[in-house]
Amino acid sequence: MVNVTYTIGDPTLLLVLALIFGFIGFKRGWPKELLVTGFLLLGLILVGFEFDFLANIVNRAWVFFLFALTGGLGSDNPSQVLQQVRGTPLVTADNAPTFTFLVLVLCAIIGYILGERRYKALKGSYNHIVGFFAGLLNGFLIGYITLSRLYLPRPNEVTQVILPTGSLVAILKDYWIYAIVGAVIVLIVANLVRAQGR
Amino acid sequence: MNPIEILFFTIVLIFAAIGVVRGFLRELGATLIILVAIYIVADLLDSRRLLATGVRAVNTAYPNPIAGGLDRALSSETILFLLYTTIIIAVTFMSYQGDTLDFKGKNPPGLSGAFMGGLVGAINGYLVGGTIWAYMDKFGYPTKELGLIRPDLLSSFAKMLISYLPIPMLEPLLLPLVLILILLRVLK
Repeated sequence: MVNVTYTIGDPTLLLVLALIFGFIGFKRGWPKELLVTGFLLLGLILVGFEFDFLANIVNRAWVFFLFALTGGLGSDNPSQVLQQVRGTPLVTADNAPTFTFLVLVLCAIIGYILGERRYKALKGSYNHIVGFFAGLLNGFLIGYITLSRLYLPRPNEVTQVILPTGSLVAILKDYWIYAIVGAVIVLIVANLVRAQGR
Repeated sequence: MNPIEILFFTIVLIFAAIGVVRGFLRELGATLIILVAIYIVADLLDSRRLLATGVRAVNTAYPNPIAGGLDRALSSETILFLLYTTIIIAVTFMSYQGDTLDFKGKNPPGLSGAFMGGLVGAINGYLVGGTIWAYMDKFGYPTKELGLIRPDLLSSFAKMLISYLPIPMLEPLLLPLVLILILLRVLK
């Protein structure tokens, strides 16, 4: 039995994410994908240049929320309660990367939802090709943001996947070419069946 | 890379480009005819030594019958290589020329149609170029007599590619592949 060790680092994850989002972009078309790109860039600008402003708004809203939860102006001593809840802000230096990540994810989700509602699917290869590249860009941005913001404190960590797959490796080594031939045949037959309208 | 790999991949690319223009269904018709030709050459003529026996007999009785103006006799291997290559090229030409054996249906539209046409065209190029190369290798590169492709100058990449050419790799699959394509052609 041979153990196979796969090391997954940041570049691999970034590439996989970009390809996944590229495929999504290929299916969705370019107008929807570019809207997501726009929202992601907006999110990057917000957290890049206006982070303090954004964190301040969220913390104020959080204070009001806590104040209302603890009785608000109807409590016995509102000023004391207000002082107390001010001491527990939501966004702190410790959780700033997580907050940044959530803001960007929220932007991406808004972009995806608006894109689905606003634009109808276009036809033509141009739509899909540009959509693929826009999707790649989105995947890269989302991956980059995730890796750089969420995992910033641990930049050198990698994931190692160790599979005890000696027999599988041996089989694939001997017959991989026949697997490719089989896959090509399946692809041709599927397209032929579709072309003949069966 | 040495010239033989470049030549091989150029043939594959040219066939792929032709495939993009002609379309997936017409290319698949050519694939069927080329596969039949390779099956006849590889399994019926070469493996059963039908042609080899005849060529060797003729070459022994009448040395150099087709050498023409050459100052030395052609070996039986060279003659066999030329015959097999001529058969493959002639059948390929016929499969592309004039009324062709098209598969019925409508080509996939747009990019997927171009991709499938290119893919099947590239497969045809691989079958034609690869079969000629495989026989060239089997008969000890007769082209070396003309100073064209010498086996001692093959790169390691070329040597690795030889085991993936149609004759060594696909020979056991030739008949099933022909049958599958014939079934797909006739089934409605």
